[in-house]
Amino acid sequence: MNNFTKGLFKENPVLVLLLGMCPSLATTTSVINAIGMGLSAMVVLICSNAVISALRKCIPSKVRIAAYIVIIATFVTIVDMLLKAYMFSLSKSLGVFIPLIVVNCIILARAEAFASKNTVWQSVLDGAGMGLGFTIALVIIATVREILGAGTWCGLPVTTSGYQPALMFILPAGGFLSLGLILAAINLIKGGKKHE
Amino acid sequence: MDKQNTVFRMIFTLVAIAVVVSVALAFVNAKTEPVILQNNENQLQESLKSVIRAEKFEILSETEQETVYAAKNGETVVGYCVVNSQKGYGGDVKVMTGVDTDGKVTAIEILEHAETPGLGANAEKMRLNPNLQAKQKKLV
Repeated sequence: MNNFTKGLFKENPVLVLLLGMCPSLATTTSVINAIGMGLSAMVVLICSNAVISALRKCIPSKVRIAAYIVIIATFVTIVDMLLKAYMFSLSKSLGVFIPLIVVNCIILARAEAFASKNTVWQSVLDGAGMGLGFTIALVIIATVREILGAGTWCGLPVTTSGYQPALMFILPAGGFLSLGLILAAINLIKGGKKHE
Repeated sequence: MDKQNTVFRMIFTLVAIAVVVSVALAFVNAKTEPVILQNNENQLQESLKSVIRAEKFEILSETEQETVYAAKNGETVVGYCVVNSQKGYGGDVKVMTGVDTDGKVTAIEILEHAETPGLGANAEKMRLNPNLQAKQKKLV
């Protein structure tokens, strides 16, 4: 069970390990996009972790990275085709970032650091935890950016009519700012505990 | 060299993985391709209908720069839709323009763009300017 929960907070891939920064900045302009991206990455992570862990005894160590990339790329392509077929508008707004999950370092990092050394079931738990942690982190960043930058949450207006949205927050610069402030806040909470 | 890392073993493993993966991808592709094509077609028809009201649309001419559709009610042509793109600030802006048989612009729809949110992207909210319609009449 620890393998599942560690991905959520203690080893959260985005907020603690600082992996996968590119999609965390690029797809967090709205909460809907963040959820779509997070869940797509989670599906890929669970499937690739399961397969890589199942094959861990038959893949020679010298070609393991090439084998992992092929397996990961397959699942990403499948997710991409399924999104295009059944969730057309979401796949349009996420655009190139779905195919780019292939090079998302969270997925390769979990394959190399965890799935290649642990049983299938433990790897699936690890993938689910990490994927969920990634989704949570994206949703937190997107919530800050969408409310400040567009005055909405999940497309629903949440601010009073007098509020002028600070556009900068849905532009790239605002992504860096929100991410930095969120990381600072998390370190403040954790640092506070250490001193007690 | 240990038993796992012989050349034969490495090649065999990679080839085996690639074969299994190709079969899986071919299967998913066969299932999703018609749905994806249908989605794209539906979207095109929807935007065509939003710029000019007609029963059906047929491609008149197609070049790299622009595509022209004839809007038809039954067999009579009621107008044309022109899809082309121009350079914007953040890349190409793909625009669809509806023209009726008098040469009057009926509507303009922006299909794709990569403009700055809040500035250039506000062009999406643009409605056809009445001044533009007046100018159109003079041109014709």
